[in-house]
Amino acid sequence: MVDPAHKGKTFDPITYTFDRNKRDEFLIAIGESSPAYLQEGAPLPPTIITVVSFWGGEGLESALQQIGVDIWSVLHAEQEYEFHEPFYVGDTITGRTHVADIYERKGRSGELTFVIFETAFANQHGSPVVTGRSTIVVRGG
Amino acid sequence: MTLDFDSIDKGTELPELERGPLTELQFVRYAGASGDFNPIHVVPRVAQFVGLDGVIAHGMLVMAYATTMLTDWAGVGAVRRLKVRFSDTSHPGEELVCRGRVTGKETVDGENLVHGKLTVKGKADDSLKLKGDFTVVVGSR
Repeated sequence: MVDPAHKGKTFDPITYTFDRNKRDEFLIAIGESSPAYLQEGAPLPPTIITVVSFWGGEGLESALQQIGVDIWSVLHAEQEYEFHEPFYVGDTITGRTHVADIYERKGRSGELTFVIFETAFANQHGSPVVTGRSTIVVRGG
Repeated sequence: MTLDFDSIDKGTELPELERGPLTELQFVRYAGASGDFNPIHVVPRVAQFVGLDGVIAHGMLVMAYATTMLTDWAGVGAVRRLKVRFSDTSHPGEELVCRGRVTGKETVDGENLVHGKLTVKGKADDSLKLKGDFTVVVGSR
């Protein structure tokens, strides 16, 4: 059970500056071999934005703890990204996350709690680059 | 490769993308690159403790494969929106197949947008790993 009163809760901003090393490490990790990503001025691969949520400070794990959820007990149910503008090596991306929704639904193994975290990612110029929505299922919620 | 907006229509199929066989080492690499160190992806004892057969792939790794299918087709920087629902877990040894199909297109503010649906399935047993909706922009950026 996750307290529905956490709906609307905001978290401390997270910030991450992308460099070539992180880009290259991520490309290898996802098996991405397109040379287009290595060209000068190329955008970063879309899903690398998740790095901000995990390496950018107290990210998702801390957000879960703050609403009383252990990361071991969750599954990632849905992920949505809207890409507003490309982002690049050298960009400093700031993410601001809030709890967009909390709801319960009957599953095969009883009540499941769904939590939707929405994060607005902006670059160092303040321009929105990505909006992310992560739906997390809390097992035995 | 440049896509021709006029030649794309409802029902157009994207070139399939295959990935795998998945390995434990890839999950470790993805954990480090993304910063998602949820132990169910990298520590077999923890995965078993929570009732899994063994470590499972990060959903975001599988989502990255689906994204590569989109960017191989439409170009890096083309993805405007991607929403996926994670279904079955993916395990070491599995091979995955990404497929996509166009459901519609429109021109908005001078931008040629193509909408579609995609899946990632296990090659051996056709298990659905994720399904999703996407929007890519064709012919700009």
